[in-house]
Amino acid sequence: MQAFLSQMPQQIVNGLTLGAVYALIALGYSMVYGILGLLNFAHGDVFMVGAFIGYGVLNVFVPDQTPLIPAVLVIVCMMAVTMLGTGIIGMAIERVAYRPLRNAPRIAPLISALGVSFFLQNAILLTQSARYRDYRTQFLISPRLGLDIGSAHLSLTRALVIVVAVLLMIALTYFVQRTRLGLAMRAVSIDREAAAMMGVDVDRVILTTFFIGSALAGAAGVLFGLVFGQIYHFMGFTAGLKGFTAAVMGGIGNIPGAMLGGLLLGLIETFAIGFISPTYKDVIAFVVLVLVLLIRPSGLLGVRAPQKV
Amino acid sequence: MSKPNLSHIVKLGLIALVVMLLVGNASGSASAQATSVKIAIMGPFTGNAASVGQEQLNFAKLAVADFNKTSGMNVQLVEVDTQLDAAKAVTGAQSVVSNNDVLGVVGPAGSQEIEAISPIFAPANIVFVSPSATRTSLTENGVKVFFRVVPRDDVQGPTDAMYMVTALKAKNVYVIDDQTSYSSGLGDEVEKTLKGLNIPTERDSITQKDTDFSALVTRMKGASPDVIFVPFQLANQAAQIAKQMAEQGLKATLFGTDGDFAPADFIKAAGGATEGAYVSFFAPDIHGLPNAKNVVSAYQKQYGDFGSFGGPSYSATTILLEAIQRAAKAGTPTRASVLAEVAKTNDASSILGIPIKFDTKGDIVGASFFIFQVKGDNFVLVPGAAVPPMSATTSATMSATMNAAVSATVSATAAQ
Amino acid sequence: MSLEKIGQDEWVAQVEARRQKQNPVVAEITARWGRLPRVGKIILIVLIPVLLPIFVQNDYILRVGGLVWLYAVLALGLNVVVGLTGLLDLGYVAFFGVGGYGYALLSSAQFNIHLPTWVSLPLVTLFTAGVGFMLGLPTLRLQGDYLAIVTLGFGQIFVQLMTSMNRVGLPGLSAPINLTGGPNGIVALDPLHFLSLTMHSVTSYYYLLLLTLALVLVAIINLNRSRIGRAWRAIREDALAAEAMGIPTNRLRLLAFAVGAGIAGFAGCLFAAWQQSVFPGNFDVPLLITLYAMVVLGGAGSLWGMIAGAFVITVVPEVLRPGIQLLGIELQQIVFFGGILALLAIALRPRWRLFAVLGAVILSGIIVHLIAAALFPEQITGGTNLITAWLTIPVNTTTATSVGNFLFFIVVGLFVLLTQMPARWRDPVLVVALYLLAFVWQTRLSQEPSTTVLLLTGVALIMLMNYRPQGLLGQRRVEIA
Repeated sequence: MQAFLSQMPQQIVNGLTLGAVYALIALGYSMVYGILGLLNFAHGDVFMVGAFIGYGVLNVFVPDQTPLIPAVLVIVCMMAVTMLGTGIIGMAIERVAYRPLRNAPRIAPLISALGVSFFLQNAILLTQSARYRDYRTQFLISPRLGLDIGSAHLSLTRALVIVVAVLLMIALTYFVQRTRLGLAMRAVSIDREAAAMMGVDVDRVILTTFFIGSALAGAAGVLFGLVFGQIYHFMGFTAGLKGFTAAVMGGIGNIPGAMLGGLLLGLIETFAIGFISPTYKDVIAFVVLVLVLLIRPSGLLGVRAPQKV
Repeated sequence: MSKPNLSHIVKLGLIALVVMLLVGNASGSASAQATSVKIAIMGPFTGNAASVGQEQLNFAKLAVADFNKTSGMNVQLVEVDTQLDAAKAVTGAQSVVSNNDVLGVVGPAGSQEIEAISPIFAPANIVFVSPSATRTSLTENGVKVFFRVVPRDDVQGPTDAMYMVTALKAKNVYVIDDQTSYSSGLGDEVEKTLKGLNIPTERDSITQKDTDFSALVTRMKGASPDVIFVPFQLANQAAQIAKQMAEQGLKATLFGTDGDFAPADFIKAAGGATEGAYVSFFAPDIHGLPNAKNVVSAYQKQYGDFGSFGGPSYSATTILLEAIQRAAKAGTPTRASVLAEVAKTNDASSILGIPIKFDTKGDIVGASFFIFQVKGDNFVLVPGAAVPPMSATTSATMSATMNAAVSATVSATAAQ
Repeated sequence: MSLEKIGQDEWVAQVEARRQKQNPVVAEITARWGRLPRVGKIILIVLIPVLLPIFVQNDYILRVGGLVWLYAVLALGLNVVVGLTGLLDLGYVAFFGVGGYGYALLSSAQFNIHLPTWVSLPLVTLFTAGVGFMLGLPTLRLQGDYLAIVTLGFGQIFVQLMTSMNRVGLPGLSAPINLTGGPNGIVALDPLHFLSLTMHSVTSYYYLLLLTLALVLVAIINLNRSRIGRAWRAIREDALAAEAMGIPTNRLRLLAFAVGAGIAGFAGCLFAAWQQSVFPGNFDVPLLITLYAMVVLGGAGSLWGMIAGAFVITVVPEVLRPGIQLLGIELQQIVFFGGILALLAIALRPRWRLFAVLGAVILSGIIVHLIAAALFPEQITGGTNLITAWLTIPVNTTTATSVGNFLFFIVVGLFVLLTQMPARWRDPVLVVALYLLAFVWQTRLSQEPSTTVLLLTGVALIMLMNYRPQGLLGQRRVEIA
């Protein structure tokens, strides 16, 4: 019990950091699913590409050990360029791989997504080689900077990741709830044809959704690189799986659900490692997921849509 | 304005094929005439373990190029990607066996792949030399075509454990493996030895896909270990643990093995967090060996830095190639003659800095382990720490002696 | 207007002409196939696979063939769950694994049980079907994608358990027991014994798997044509309506799970005996993805499509395998360039456009080479064959690699833009893109053949799905929203 109490604060910090990254990835999954009914299996690889784009920008501004411009600016630049870049990549994927399949059986876009996933992973493998790339965050943010809350140490980098993730989620919520484009997105996710009849440009809305979802994944990639340091071409595989799990746990198609699901998954995994068994962490996470779904079959915040016959 | 139909497509296809054959074969030089001798390399060139496989592949490519230059032969390297998956390795192995030009194989990298392909290579009498598989049973099952340039788990495990107890005075050890055959085998051996010496040992696992270990580090803080044993294949995972240990203030000595012996991934990537950590490796650091200078600089120029998998791969490839060269002296080399020559390998000064000679089981003779410590940007050899491998009896006697010594110390301390 | 077909609806009578207009190539193939007498069809379908080992003594080809049959069996089983009943089961490989490990535990030195084949095979199959049934039970409440995630979880749990259950410490035991061999798997399995035959060679497994495929195919065809098959398809189309029609959906869903799992379990036994070992990595997500690709590519719901899908997905990477050479040239290179030429031939009509584009590409290559040779004479290689001489490749390999990497992204961007561009700009951009692609091929793609295989597979999947979303042999279904 003593161990449990003393480690709990640190594990909460750990879990929230991980959860913030998962939440950003899960958001992209949920948004695309909500609008298209499509599980974008290439999403994890967009996250990975984002991490590499961020790395590229980092190398421009921090060629050796000292940043050429203030660290804050470097990070802002990394985030901006990456989000723009992955957003564009997301839009390109939509146009090339998914739009032609909009009226196809639901399972066809899955294979197209798979093709995109193979392509992205191996494009990075080909051009960046298989070596792990290091974000060298210690040259941007000194690892000693941080806050000590009780027995937990909250490093500045972790705090940054959590804060930025939360800010992005708030921005997204504002966008979806308060702007016209957000309104259009909600309309399309409820009923695509009715929205089209109401004058909503469905294609444009779908493109925007992909842009935003992929931009968030890219942001997650940069944040991941900053706090966990090392990126490689295959990291999208697990990230995508975890993001998908988080999205489903929160209720797929549901934006607050994705955020909640991500944070919860991060916490569950961390607690499983810390207090039960690191070896079985995935097993435990899935067991919890199954229990959640048994109690609430549409996810935590999912709304059971009445089936229209 | 004819519509394309079946016969049109077929005609076009045939024309295209003819054109390409002409173009592809329109070479002026004599490259097509040289002897078509091939060797294959099997490894994870794509997928999650690509960093290991690509390093092995690139060093092998370098070895073949160097060999072709010095010997005047023209040996070609055939790539067989296994993604560290036994089933893909099986299909790949079959394609190698059916390719009559291939006289020998370097790899595969993983012990489970070797278990799966031995039934295919053995009847075909084709030799295969692995640069990285350490599972003990691989040379205990009577397969005559398998050789390896790395020593076995049952030798390294007790050695490392003894070092931890005697030199590092560890009273409490945490063992983490990455659920691969290599890692869990080593972890098992170390745990067994430590338990035999009554040292409390915790055991946990991660996977090769994990990137965040902060929860694990917090958990380990609760156990307050003296030494944390991390026999990983991917050195950057160990570096990550070191970084997060520094972040959370967990002070323990990290002890890694072969896979962790990578300056870029273990030292630089950790940004100083691995200072003072130990790594055991069966050969000296080829970064500093005069023997290996040309190879190292050539590799670094073309591919960047490398870890611990490259040297053995270069060595294994060279062994195979030199065997082919010797077999060619007696006539056209065949799989059988190459196999015989590999068994006779007697390389006094290999790129690895250790002599290479195989015993009847296919293991390397007289291997010893070197303990390195991270100091600054490099691995520094701990003097006097080259420990020869122990036979089972020596190991048992040693552990009995150790046991007695340790319990004597413990009871002496308790009595105070 | 076809007057011979009196009494037939005109629209129906003109189906041939319509198909010809839509897609001449496929129409031609289908028409010729339809005109074959029954004997001809049987000959093509049955005799070629059966007689293959006699004409081709190459063990590698036979092994790939055997794999095609094995994967076809698995795809058929998955088809029962996904294609016929519409349940997105992402944990299917775990059943394959249960079969494999089941056989391994009953036929090896792990617990020193060596059951004869005629006992272990049915036992493991039934057990796996039971596991499928058990997995189906808690998922009855879940729809669609929630079912997917739960089954995915089950699959992951299975792999994790197989990996870590080599150190199972139960209370009351002095030392942990080794149940599954952990990452080292279980090796040295007994081969299959049928009557007096022991299966050792690749040829024997080829025939065994072919026979299994035939049996499973016949069984599923019959199941499909029966009430159960109709009920499954009804559940796939609209589960609520099916329930309202009196179909016991729950029981049938469980049956689908059980049948699919049973097939996978049986296949697992055969796989384990063939490989003579099992490892946890044999039953992980990559195989699941491969199976799904086969099912969807072949056309989910179509039985022959499964075999087609298995064939394509298994054979294409083998064809692209580095090291295979046809008349001295890498097969990968032939397939790559041949594929591009074929695509150009199909996409560029009239015929003169094709030659114009190709000519422009060759011309621009020569121009670039001349300019570069004038500006940087030392730094361009002479080239060992026609293609490398035509391209402008830097002598310094590091430069070549960096330029190649950079141009790779440019090429991808250009091709993406091409799909969205107005017609006027397409041809010039196409010329530039093709030239750069040839450069990237020579400097990067051909140097990393293992990575190129996956890149090409990815592109092929995207293109195949775009071209034929219903799969090769699938039916075009009208989705009524």
